[in-house]
Amino acid sequence: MKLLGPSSLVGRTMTGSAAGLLLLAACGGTSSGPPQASGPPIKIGVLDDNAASTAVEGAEMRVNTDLAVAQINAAGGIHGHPLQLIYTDPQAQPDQAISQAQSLVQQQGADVLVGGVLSSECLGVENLVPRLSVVYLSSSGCASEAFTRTQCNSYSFRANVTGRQTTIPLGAYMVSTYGKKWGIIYPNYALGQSNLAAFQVGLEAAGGQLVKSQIIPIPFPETNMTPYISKIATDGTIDGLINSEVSADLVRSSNVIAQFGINNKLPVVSFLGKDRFAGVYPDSLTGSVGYIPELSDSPADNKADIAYHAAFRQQLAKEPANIQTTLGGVDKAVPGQLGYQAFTAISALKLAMLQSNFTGKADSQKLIKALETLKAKQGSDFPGGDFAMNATDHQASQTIYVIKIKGQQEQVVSTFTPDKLPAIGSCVVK
Amino acid sequence: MPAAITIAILAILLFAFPPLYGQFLPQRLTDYLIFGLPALAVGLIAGQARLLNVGVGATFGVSAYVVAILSHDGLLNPFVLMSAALVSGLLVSGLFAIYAVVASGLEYLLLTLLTTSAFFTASLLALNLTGGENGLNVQSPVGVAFGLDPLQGNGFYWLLCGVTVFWTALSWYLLSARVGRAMIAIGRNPVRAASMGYSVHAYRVWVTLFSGAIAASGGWLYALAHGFVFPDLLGLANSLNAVIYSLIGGVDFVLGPLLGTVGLRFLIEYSGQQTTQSQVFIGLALLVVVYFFPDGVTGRIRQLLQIRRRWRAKDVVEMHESAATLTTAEESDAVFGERGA
Repeated sequence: MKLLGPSSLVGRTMTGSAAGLLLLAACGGTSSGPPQASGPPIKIGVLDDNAASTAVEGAEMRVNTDLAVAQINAAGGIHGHPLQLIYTDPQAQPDQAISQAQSLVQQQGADVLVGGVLSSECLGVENLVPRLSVVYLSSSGCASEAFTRTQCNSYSFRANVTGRQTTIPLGAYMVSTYGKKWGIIYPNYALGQSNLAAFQVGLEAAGGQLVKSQIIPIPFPETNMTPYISKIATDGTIDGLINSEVSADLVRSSNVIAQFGINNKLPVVSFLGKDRFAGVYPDSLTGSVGYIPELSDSPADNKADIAYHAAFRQQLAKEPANIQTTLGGVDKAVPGQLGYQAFTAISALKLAMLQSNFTGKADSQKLIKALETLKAKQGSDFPGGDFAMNATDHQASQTIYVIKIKGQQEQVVSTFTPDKLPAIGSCVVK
Repeated sequence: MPAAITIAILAILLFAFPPLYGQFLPQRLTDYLIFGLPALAVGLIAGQARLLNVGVGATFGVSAYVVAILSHDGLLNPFVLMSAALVSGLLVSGLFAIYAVVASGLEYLLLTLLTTSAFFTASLLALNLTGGENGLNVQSPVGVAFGLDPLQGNGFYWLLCGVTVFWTALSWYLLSARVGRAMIAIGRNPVRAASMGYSVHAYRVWVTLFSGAIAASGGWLYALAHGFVFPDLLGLANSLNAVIYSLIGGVDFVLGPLLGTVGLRFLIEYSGQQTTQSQVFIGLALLVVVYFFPDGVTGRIRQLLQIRRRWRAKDVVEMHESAATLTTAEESDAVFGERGA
């Protein structure tokens, strides 16, 4: 059992402090630097899954959460109170997530909760937090629309965009650019079915549709994609193809699509971001279209994003070897969509805590009010783009970019700011 | 009788000690005991009756889902929900009981495995009823728990203790009674037991339904404690967890599965807070247990106690033998005069 070392709880606190000191030193942190965070700490309980199935999400959450907290503490914390992270690993088991959330608050004194990668985890924790009277922000993952669409509550917030918030703008771009008729391949289990429904909504909102004969489920797990991809019609039946496979299946399916030359005949819409491919896009993805809230490679004119990427790499170098390897190594890794979600969740918390003079769990109601009305422009806290929280359902909107892949480049073909994104539903917090 | 005294002392400690320690310990134990119930069920059905059932998660999960679904339909009477959860769990167990009659060995194992997988898949397909992959919350979670808030006070903890002690004591009593001994005999050698006149099928149905009721109680209490259910509760992982807990704790003694659950769940929680590679340490811990404690922790304790008893018995025999030798020597001295004289 590892009690000390960079990955341990003690090590984690020390690493955070060391990172803060280093940043202070780099900024010439003397009497003229930011005030030291020396008050009682504000504890953030983090449900960070490190199971095999959620290794990438867990690693991205950890590095980006560490980074955001180190930066906040280096800048003086929350009115002098340093942030202290308490990590726990539910191992992608919802029952563990619920138990550990309870433990974080009731035993370890967490003032705020974040994390929970799987939808079933974050939905379970969301259901728990009103009874614990503690504010909860989802972090990396937690893609289910239900979190803010059907079972929202006053203590729970989601800082990242999801579901129809993304497929409606993307659908509008797909229909206006390529045409109305689309086919889709999707993994035939819950996630794939949910993606299918989200794309259906997105296309229909733009006057497009999924062609019935070209809705192709691929059994899960299935490594041989050929029998399914060979059903895709390239004779004009559809104007484009949505590849809604994820992880290793996305690479496999993209390779087969390229093998059949389908990507030369039809536009292909996929889930993109270099973090999904250990930092390097495979050649088969060239020409693919997708959306992303923060570009894998910082644009030259976005200084905040360039600084974010540099700080991310510095932070990653301090993390345990297994985290570095999971993300493709320090030289190739990028913060990633999921990592960006974790970073901006902590940024949102920071701004709301500063605004509400938050010092601990007793100030939860003040923190809720501040989070509900939080708006931020692109900058060091939200390097990808603008941010706005919807007070009605506690679902945030962030700028998203529709991108097209050319080799390792992500060409931005359309941008949707928070005010252009649709509401996720009609849930009203009580 | 010593076992009964042990259980009674442990029961008193379970009720009285954790609340003295504060709010947290009863709540952690609440979680452990809830998952201890399906482990206890596995200990009985697989450990004692030797039926390789990996479907206890289905029984547990269905009961939990019934509470959530009925609460969404506006049914919030705690007694009705408890009854519905137990009845639904017994219905699932009835299915396993049929398997126990028509199949055995590997066939039985596969049937329980496939049935569990089917329940898991069904929960994903019946999206409107179960919430699919996202799971389903329980409406009015405090109301359906007899007004006992699992997060506040000790009331819910004591309810759970009562249920756990009830099932543990009843299991211990039945295992000690004739019916339990017959069940164990059937588990070890069904052909021989049948030739002695025992109805193998009847006993198997009985133990399946009894263990199903225990697992269903766990599912019911889980839904009340956490106010949220999800497909994994029905799936194979939950079933296998119960098997692992019972194997680690040991199935020889009725408390073994409960102790195994407490130990392993604590290890998972603790290691998850210490390292990003907690699964490696959990895997190593399991290897150590399997290698050094093949009969589980309570099995090893029992073995050690038996060895101690044998040593003591051996000492007593030696003492008797030496005493007897001395007596013989004294007698012969008396007859033949002082030795060496």
